[in-house]
Amino acid sequence: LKHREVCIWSALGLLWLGASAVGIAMLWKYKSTPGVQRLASPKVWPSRSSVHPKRGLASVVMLAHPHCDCTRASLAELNKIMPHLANKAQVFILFARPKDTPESWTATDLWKSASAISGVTVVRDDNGAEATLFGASTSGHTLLYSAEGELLFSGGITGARGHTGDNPGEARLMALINGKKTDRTEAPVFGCHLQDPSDAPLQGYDR
Amino acid sequence: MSATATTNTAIRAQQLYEESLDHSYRQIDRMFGGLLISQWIVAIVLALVFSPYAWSGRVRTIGSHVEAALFLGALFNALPLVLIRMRPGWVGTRMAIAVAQILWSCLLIHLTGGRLETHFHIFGSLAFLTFYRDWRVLIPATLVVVVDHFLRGIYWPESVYGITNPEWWRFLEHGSWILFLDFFLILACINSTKEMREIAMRRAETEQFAKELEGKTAQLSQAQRVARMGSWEWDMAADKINGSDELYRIFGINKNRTPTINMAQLIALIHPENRALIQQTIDSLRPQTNEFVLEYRIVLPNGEIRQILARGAARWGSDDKIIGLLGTAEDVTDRKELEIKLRQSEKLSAIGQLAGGIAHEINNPLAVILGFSQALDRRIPNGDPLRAPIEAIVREAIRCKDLVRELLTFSRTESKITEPLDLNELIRSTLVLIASQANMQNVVIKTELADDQLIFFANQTQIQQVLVNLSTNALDAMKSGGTLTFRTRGSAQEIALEVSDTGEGIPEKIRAKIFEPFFTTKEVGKGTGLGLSLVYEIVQQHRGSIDIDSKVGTGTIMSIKFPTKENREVS
Repeated sequence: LKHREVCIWSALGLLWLGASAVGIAMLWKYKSTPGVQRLASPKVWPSRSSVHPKRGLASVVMLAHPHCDCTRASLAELNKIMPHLANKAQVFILFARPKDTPESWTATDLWKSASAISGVTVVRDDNGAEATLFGASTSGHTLLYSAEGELLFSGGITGARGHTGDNPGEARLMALINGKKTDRTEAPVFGCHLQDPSDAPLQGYDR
Repeated sequence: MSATATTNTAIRAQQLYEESLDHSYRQIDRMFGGLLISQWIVAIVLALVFSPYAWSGRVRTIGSHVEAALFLGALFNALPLVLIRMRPGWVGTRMAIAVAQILWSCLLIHLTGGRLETHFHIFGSLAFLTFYRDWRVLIPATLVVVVDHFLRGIYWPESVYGITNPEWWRFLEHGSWILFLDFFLILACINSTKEMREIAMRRAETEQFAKELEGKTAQLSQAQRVARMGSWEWDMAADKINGSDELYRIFGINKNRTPTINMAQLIALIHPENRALIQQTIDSLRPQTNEFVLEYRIVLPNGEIRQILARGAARWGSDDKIIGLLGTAEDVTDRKELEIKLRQSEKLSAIGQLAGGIAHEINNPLAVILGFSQALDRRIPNGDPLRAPIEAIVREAIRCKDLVRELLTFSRTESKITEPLDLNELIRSTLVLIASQANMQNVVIKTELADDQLIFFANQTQIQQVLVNLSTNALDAMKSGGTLTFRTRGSAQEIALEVSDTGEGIPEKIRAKIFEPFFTTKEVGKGTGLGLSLVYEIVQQHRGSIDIDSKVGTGTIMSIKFPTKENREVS
């Protein structure tokens, strides 16, 4: 090729490489942007909750959107740590069903996957009442309460949207459950919004 | 191989190597083009199947994975696909493909939620890139991996290291594993190109040998054509005869239409009288008497008969059975004809010398006999009973004198001076001599003479003798009438004379003998048997040629050709 043509192709190559880097950076940004937590989680187990954990055991509660594909990663991580929770905590997964949706709204693959995890209790959260009580607005939000009902941890157990693998939230949860101290007791939550976008905070759900 | 040939081979090897490499680059460019498009389709399908939507409560929107697969995938493929289309085989195209392939690894890892298994796409891609045999493509691919890890280590370490505060050198650790793989892939590239060079050198050498072989084959073919000698080999088990081009030409076989022949096809071309000879010769072969020489005739498709001299040898199997024959076949037809003519010439020369010697010895006593018998004849009165015997002595003595004169003419070896003659003019003057005889026999004389003068150097007396002898013979063959035709034509090299009659013709069995001295079919006392011998001798002395074409019951054509070049003397 002539020198001029090589220069043109090289310039195009650099342009292309730059555009690709920007594209990947945008994807990174999207995947690493956590959901907005609009309300604080209750410091003690909410008494109005329809979920009644057994006494003497810590409780892990995950609030999930039954159609959110990113939540697969949260379930995968939960499944991974389940053997370490045996005899230490009871685990609940609450799938939110907004109002005006059929009962079949929660009959999804995610429900089946959650039900298949040994030791997990899967519960339908009609009208998102439990999500409201636990202050969760992003699918995959996980809370750890002590046997005495005190909040120990609130946040996500994935490192990015729909991304499996070790992450700080999971590490903190495991440390706390094992009675260790952690630098922080919360972590960003990566997943779909549990509420409609136009809703005011938790509108559509009865708090 | 000469120094020049070695240099040419090295240049050709380099050329073949570069051609082969370029072909390989283009082919792998196309393969990667297919892979890039396939990855794009797979990524879109994956996104549509596993994460088609992003949800906000009850509201769904197109998932980010679908958008990423569609638009980012299109962006990754854009430049490589354009380059594959416009600049296949170029080093820049390979480099762009290498970068795109690793970018695809990043995207696929994202789309599959960071699954560990998807990281093997990087290793697979690096291995596939080595198909180029150009280790340089591993550099941009490795750089993209290292830069990706470096940037992630700074901005999003959990996504690649699974911890929030990795050591700064962690990207080097990951990069070194890629370099570990690269080391072996680079070795593979170097070894592969080395093998390609060796293959190119072998191909160049083969081409050079083929070229030399082609030259030698052409040389052999030309030599065979000049020698009229073909070579052949018969594989008995396959019943296949491999013959040279000249063999096919000698046997009148079109090699394009009949590329291979078997023994039955060859036997069919051999003269029926000689076919048994072939089998007898093969049967007579023994390991101790392995070689054979054989002469036979073949009949060409146009009916022409050619004489073949075959030499060959048998190839023997382990059980002392013939497994094949090989040898040569030479067309000796022309040589045979020359040999016949030479024998005829030698015979004539010997007879001529003998006859000349005898004639010389007889001539003097004959002159005495004729002289005294003519004297007696004049003195013996009519009615004397001795008159009839004396007349008989005179008549026979005259006949003997004519015979001796012809013998002396035949045997005369001294040079005769030639002069430029017009053949047409000679014919016209000869016609006067034979006209009355032709008239008496009811023979019509026709002339078809060339328009131009046919000048050639010859001895006038001898050529006239030729014309008279041929005419006399023709008239003798047409006792009950017919047509005697003289035709002439000329070219720059030769002039031709044809004397044809519509007489009884010459049977084939005596055709070879008619030029022999004293051979005659005429009644005893009517011919000397020297007429055509003399014609033959004179034509030979003038460096000409004579041919006969005769059919019994139809007539005879005597064709004579004389060279036009100057013959100052005839020998």
